[in-house]
Amino acid sequence: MKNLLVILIIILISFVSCKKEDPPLSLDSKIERIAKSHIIFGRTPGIAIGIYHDGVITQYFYGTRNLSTGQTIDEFTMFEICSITKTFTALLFADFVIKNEIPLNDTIDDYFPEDFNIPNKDGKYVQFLHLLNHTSGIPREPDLPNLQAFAVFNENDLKNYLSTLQLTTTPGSNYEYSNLGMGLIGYLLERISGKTYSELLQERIFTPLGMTQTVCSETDFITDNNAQGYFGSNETDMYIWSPVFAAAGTIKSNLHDMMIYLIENIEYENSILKEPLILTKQRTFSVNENLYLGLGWHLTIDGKGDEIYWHNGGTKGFSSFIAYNNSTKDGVVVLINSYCTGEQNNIGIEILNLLKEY
Amino acid sequence: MGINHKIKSGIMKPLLIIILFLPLLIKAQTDTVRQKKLEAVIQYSIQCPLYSVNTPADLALPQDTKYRSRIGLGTKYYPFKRWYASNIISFSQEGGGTLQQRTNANYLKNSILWGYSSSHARLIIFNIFCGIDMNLLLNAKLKYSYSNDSENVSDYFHKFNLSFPFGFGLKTKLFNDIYFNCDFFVSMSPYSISKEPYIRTAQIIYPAFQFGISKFIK
Repeated sequence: MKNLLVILIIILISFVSCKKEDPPLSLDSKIERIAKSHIIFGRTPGIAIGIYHDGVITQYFYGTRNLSTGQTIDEFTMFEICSITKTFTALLFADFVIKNEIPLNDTIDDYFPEDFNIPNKDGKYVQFLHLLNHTSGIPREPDLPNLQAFAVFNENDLKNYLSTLQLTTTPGSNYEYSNLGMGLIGYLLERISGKTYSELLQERIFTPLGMTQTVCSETDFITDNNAQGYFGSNETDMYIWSPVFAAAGTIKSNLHDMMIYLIENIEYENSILKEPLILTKQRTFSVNENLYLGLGWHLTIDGKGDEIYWHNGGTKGFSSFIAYNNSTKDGVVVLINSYCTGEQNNIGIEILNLLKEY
Repeated sequence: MGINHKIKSGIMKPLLIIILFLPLLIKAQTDTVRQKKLEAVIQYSIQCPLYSVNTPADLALPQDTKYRSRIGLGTKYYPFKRWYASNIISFSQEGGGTLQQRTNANYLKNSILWGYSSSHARLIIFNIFCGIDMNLLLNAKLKYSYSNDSENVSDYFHKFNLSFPFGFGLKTKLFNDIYFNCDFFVSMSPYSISKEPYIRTAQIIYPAFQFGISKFIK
């Protein structure tokens, strides 16, 4: 028995490892550790990361765009950018406002077909502004049987849904994230302009900014450099969005184009869309002392008082994150070809914090 | 009738004797077992290791299952009637990920277990246990099946971690104080095995099946 105890103690002691001081890592090494950790532990097939720091773009690619083939990711690999689409929708709407085509504070009732019944609450009507900053009181989305029901929810479904809908809160009073609310912006812009959401974005945003490979239409997404989406270890089909929901998440893009968009937002004073960009940055609603809503964008005030504009996104097969520090002019884009439970935010925020140190 | 009566009487006598003496026989056997308090054990397990990242909800996503092995050697000590403490040293293959990009992490484990066994006088012995594993990382590799490449990723792991196993199973005597057991167990690390703070990762082992041969040596 004594011998056994001695052996046990020796084994226990042998298991206690001495802590070594790690040498300081370069920014590139730290970003690699952040990204690779998600591949090692997180079942993430591939990650594309772009940073804008001290006026320089750097891109990082890890893992694969397709687990079956092992093909690598590059700056032109196409991803679903998911709900980052909402910031494009807001920018598009801001362009209409700047050009005096629609007032931001107009109520939306007048822009629907006459036989639509648009709900109100406490005598307050939903304005475009409320849809753009998620304070309309319209729920996140209707009770749909599954996520792909986004694809088939048509105008008639919308009419029926709105006719019985009761707003959850008084418009303009509470923040409640709404895919349908943002989807309605795209739907109404199509009605107002007589053009499709895709045509409007191409004409007013993508082409002026030089985002030549960014698309909305599912048919345009077919390239030979698409990332395959994954839900856990299962391959997923590309997400399809009906015109009612398209403005909430339909855009497909790559790191090359998303870095253009990031820089346009950071260096907005030199942008061809300067005035619409400034409009999207305005604080339109305060959730609490650290979280505000712009148009489409969330704005967090970090511990050092810096303004961090951000949006994340996720579909069944893709995850995304974009953020920029309006004070330091640093920014980050993260594109992942799998469903995540918030990892894309962790990666993006961690990198944005790192950029302050280097 | 008379012959039958004789036959019955002929059988009944030894049966009665057996029935009368059976408790004594069992007690004698139990006592024999009880006197032997130290049991040497060799175990082989097949186990399905998984990673759970940031939230337990992560486990609800479709996962590739890949069974890996564990082989261990140790002792069980019975200080009380049916309760035991056990120390097993094992080499355990764990990890997680997809089949195409899989992390294989190998550990040397020192398991301290506490358990309960029903009486060893029975034909089938029920066994339940729980405890703590002290795990020393030997190496970790990220394997890419599509290119047959692998890279050492040990530096992304804490060198030492703990996990809590829980299991139950059955045991039976083969011959001469040699027993065979078959257990089901699960195990989970209580905190992140990843060195990186922004990806909290728990090593889950579920399910695992353990087969062992043991012998009372003292």
